[in-house]
Amino acid sequence: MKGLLIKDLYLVKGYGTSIILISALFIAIGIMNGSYAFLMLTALYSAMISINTMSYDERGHWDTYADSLPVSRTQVVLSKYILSFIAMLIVWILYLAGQTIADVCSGTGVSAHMLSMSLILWSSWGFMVALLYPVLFRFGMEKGRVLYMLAIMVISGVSGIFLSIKDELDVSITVSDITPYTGIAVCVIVLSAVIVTISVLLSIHFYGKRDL
Amino acid sequence: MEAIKVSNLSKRYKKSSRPSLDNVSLDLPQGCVLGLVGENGAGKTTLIKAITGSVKFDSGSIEVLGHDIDAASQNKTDDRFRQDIGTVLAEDSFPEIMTAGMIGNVMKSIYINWDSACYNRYLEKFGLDSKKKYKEYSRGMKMKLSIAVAMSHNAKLLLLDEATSGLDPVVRDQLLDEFNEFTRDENHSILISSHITSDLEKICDYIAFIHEGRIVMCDTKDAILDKYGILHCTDDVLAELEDGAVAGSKSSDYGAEALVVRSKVPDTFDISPVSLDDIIVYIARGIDNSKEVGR
Amino acid sequence: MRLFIDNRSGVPIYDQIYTQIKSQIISGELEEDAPLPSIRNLAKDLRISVITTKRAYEELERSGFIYTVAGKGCFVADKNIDAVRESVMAEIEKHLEEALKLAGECGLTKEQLKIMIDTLQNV
Repeated sequence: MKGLLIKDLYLVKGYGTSIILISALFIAIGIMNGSYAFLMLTALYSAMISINTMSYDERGHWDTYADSLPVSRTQVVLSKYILSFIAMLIVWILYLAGQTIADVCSGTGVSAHMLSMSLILWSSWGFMVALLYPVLFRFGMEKGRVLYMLAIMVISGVSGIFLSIKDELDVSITVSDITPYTGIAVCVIVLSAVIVTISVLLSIHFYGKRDL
Repeated sequence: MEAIKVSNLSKRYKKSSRPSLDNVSLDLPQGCVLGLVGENGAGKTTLIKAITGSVKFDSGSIEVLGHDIDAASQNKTDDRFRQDIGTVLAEDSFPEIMTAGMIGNVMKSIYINWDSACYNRYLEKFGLDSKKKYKEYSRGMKMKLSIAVAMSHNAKLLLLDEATSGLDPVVRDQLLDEFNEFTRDENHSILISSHITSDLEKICDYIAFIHEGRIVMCDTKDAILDKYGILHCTDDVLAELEDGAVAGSKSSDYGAEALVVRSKVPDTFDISPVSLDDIIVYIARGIDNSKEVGR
Repeated sequence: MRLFIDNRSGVPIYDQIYTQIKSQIISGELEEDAPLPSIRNLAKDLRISVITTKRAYEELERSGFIYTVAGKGCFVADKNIDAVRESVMAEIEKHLEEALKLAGECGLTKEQLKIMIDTLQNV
């Protein structure tokens, strides 16, 4: 497992530097503008980072080679989820840090939308990962690519709609209002966790059966 | 003891008209080199991939280094036994931007017995630049890199799929030397597939000939080479030989050349020694001919 | 020990090894109780099959030229002159039989055959 992650980090380092830079830029823009669209994109990038490595794996026939190594296909699947999770975690920490600094500088104090934004980031990452990964593990990158593109478009569209509503909602949220949202927040977190777990199990099942 | 024991293995890919593996059984005794010969598409790669776990077979079982894998449990097998196996696949094996150095670092975390010093020695011996990207390597260098990885973790078994194909004779000879040295240890075994039969003739103890997914012939190399010979004569003479004496033949206006079973041909005939290559060609031809006759 | 393997001669490789080791034992080049390389190492050194060298050693042992000590390997056997003579004589007999057969085919008499042998010896 560790070896698989090291290999993926090399790939991210080799191919993904632009994604990392863009993500950092988007986080900065997102915080400064208060624009959710940019922040959402960074969550989507985090989900995509593993998909990119999967595509390079497949192109280099690493997936077939990995079968001959003392690592199981379950570990291969898990490593992809973990890599993406780590990417999202970094994005989230950067966002929290950036937002805190921004809030302190502007003197508004720590705002409540950090919580709602965190929820949006994590749940959109969760849904993206949960929907796409099993499909890609089932059909492979080549066949899965069309579905993958389609999914990105749908998710972007949905989040676009979601965002336009959100901008209006946001005004009403203040620190004192946070309590009623805790229930929703917990629900969203639990729901995301459940679908990601189901997704992991499905991916393991699909990938385990495939001929490579 | 057998390093690999394949029993009644069958595999048919979806959308395929015939099975890629049809009731294949095969033994590789420990300490030996088994060569898998056959034309492209005969099932060599499918068989090796079934052993590495890439191809999920429909029925039968495989025992590798004492570890059983059967059709029902193949998705849940514990892959730790693969610590003792080194594999070289015919196609590329690594993402193209990785360097030999990176690959070494990855393998260090994958193989318990990874020997970095040994790996670096191989890189040096094979003239591989550890900072060069995989995509910049020639096919020969890619193969050498795979072999370096396969031989740097104290493996007991090497699975080599077309590891010498597409390489020049000098490199091939160098690699065959490595494989030869590997089996100096009596616990070490090799399964190697190739359509370059001359390479297999050099290093194998056993030869298995696979044709259209079936094992047509499997025996010690010596027995196979002793069994057959080439006979030059006329078609009439061929027709008079006893049943089963002719394994395959080729005739022209000027006479016939046949692969014959020495024991079934009278001593008075002048039979010349035969290469493995000829044996394969004639037997494949014989099978295809008899099929056409049957139709 | 010297061994030359000719892959193209048509003579089975085990036979080439057998013949060469045997003649070196008979000639005294290989001394009594001298250790022979292990089956595996010999095979790997010559780049031939382990099964081939095993067969050559088995034939040498059967003919009494070498003996095996379990766990230690193979050694040159006591050179039993009679045994060696016997095996060589058996071979000569075989060749002479062949010669007689050929002589019969073209009507040569035993006397003429003897003259041939004498002539050959004088060459």
